[in-house]
Amino acid sequence: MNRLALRLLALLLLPSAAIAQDSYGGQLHGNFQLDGQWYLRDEGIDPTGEFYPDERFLGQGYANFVYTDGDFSGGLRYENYQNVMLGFPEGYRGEGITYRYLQFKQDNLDVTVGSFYEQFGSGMVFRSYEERGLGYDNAMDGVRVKANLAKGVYLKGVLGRQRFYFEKSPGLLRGVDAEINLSERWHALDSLGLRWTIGASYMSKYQRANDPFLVLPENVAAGGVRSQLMKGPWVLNTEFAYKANDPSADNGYIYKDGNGFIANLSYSKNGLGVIAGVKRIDNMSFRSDRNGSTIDMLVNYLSPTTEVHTYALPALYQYATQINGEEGIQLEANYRFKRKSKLGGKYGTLVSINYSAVQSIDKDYVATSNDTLRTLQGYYSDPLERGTIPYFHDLNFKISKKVNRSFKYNLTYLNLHYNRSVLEDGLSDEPMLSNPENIKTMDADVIVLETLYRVKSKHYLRNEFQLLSTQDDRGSMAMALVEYSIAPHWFFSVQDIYNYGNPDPDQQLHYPLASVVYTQGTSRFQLSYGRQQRGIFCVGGVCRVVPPSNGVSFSLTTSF
Amino acid sequence: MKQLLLSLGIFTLLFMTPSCDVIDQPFKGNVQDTTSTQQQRNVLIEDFTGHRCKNCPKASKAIEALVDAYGSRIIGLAIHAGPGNFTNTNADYPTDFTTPEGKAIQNFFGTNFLPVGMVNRENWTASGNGHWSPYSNWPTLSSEAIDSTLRIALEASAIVVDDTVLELSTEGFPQTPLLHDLSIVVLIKESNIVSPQLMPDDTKDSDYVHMNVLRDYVTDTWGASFGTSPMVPGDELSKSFVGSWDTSWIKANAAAVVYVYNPTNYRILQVIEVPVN
Repeated sequence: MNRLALRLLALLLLPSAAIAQDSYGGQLHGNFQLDGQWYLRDEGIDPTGEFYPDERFLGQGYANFVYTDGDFSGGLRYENYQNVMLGFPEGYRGEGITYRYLQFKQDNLDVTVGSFYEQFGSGMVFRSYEERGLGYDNAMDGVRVKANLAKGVYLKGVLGRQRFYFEKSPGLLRGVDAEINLSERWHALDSLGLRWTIGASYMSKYQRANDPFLVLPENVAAGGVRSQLMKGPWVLNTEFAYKANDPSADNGYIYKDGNGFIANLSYSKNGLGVIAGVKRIDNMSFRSDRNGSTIDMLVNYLSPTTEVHTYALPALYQYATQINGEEGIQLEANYRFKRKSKLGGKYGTLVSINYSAVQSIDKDYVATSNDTLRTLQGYYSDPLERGTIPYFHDLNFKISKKVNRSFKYNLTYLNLHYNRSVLEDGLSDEPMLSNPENIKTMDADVIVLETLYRVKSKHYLRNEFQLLSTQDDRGSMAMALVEYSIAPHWFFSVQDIYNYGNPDPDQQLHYPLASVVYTQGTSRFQLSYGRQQRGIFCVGGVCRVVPPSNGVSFSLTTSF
Repeated sequence: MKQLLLSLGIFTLLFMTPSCDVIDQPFKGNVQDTTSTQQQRNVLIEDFTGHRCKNCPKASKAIEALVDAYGSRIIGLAIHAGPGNFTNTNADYPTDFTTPEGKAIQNFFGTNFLPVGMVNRENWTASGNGHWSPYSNWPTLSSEAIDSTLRIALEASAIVVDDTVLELSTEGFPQTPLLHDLSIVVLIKESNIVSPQLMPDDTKDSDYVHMNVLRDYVTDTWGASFGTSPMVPGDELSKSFVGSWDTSWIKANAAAVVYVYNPTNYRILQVIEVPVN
């Protein structure tokens, strides 16, 4: 205990701790990032100036410090938003220490007090995580205990509140997760070549209710069961979750319970990989504030069953998980033709195909004239019936081939269907079922050719040519990108997106962007100048809207 | 195995003791008593809205429901301010409802999405967002504000002279000791304005009736000094204002809104609404 006290003292005196790390055997690590943009007025992309910030210059950054000494660790993160950059949630206002924790492991226990991230299963019941690019952070502040009770038996317990920008959510979360690795406990399974893990989780939130009209549940529970079965090249993951009545701003204050199901089957052997996934979600919005919206205070995470594209043009039309209800499938197959085969050539060829489709779930709405039933139930849904509103589909093919020692390319074709009413305007199913003629969609064919050429030792030239062809939304676009990198320090990039098919001739604009990056050791400095068009930025099915902007931006990252 | 189950049980109990409330009857009966003749603390809901914001009519409806429940103790104020794609005019939405004061308030309190609002401007902090709330939370926040102590009672009268001049007189009566200064704000709002509004189903309602629309401030955005600390029950505060009246406003649909707030934290202590005669 004295040693623990010494470590605590060392952490409180961080600068001293860094100096004294030899004495205690501990280490101090950290990283730092600073981003800023000087915004220029651009009447082409923002005719009315509605996105042009009053401040002209916006900057934000953070620094993490983590001290570890054996089984003990502690850390903190400082963040500043002065002011928050365009496209990030407006809730980030100001500066301060937003994350701090102490953690120790002892007697098969792993105890964390303060801030922590955690996940139960795939996250359908609970996932606390951070995604900096999105401005998403629902870190818990409280206590977490992990215990290894016996061989193959793992328990987690969490208690706390979620981060809400520089404040805390009004709801309190308390949950427990158990996972048993059956193969570790029963060797008979292992000898059959089976690796089987099962788990169960439970999460309850408490939020005070004082609504003058509605009797709101102050305690709302959700639970889930899951299984992962592996044998040879096969892996089967399944998870089912259930949530009790949870009237919220998301579901229109109906008291219907929620449920979700995810299953993924994969096969991987001899260069062939196949994944098949299915998902169904019904009223699974779960927040630690029933009045929360957008990406605020989400308790659970509903993983997407669509492919996340990183190329700029298809990334303009990313799918965001619809937490109120969706059903979807994803099929993916890839095969690597062997080296020196007819199709593989000298270096082999990777071919992949991916198809994903997401649509509404079946919903039979209760008539609004029946107040009580409408509020209690909202709608009835038959899981065996398919919904009728397509939300999204993506069919894509890719070929990746290394032609010779200096040249390789990736060729991609995508066919996209994107329901803008759902994914951009946030329209619910009911008005779309009533007025299907008002549904706005975007159908596109996209071709991307990416090449990488080694000019000489440490000199690389990367190109991208993208074409998005559509009659919908902003119309067709073409993009060209040239990147030249001199390892390990320099990187130069120039790109232009031309929205030549915009139905508004005044908006048939170019979006040029030039960047230079310098890297020294673990530090990286980037300077960019150009236009960014409006779009949707998504990570893992969670998205935010990015407004158009023009200006000079910089980014500095470093770590120690 | 016994030890394992015991540990499992203890661990689970620690974290799972809380349960789940299952609701069979979602509606409450009658709400608060509104028959009291003594002035009680009222609620100002500043509803940041826009005629091209499709979810904003839901916020307006939420205020109507609260007015139905609590009567004149709920005072709505629709402030058309926020992102231009929600509030700007175009051929389909030609009426400019924005005001410089509304924009100034929106900028100061710091939000850029709609619909959103403030209920008596409770919980303001310079770097926080606790003062903002979605319309779905207004019933709860209003209910709590209505139950809180009245610190100053207000009276006011408003009259239009010569069709262009608005004269207002206000009086304040501290109900508890007040150890901070007070500021007073007077503004004009108008209801029953028919003008297009984008609706939640993405259609345009050309005959939409806009309620509680902020028209103009008689004081400046942050008001005028009304009282200096300390103040005690028995003190009487008063202030008169003269402003201009726009002849396009319909008196029968208009009202003067008077509120007093603590200038150190912007918390609104009392608000009243009086007809314009």
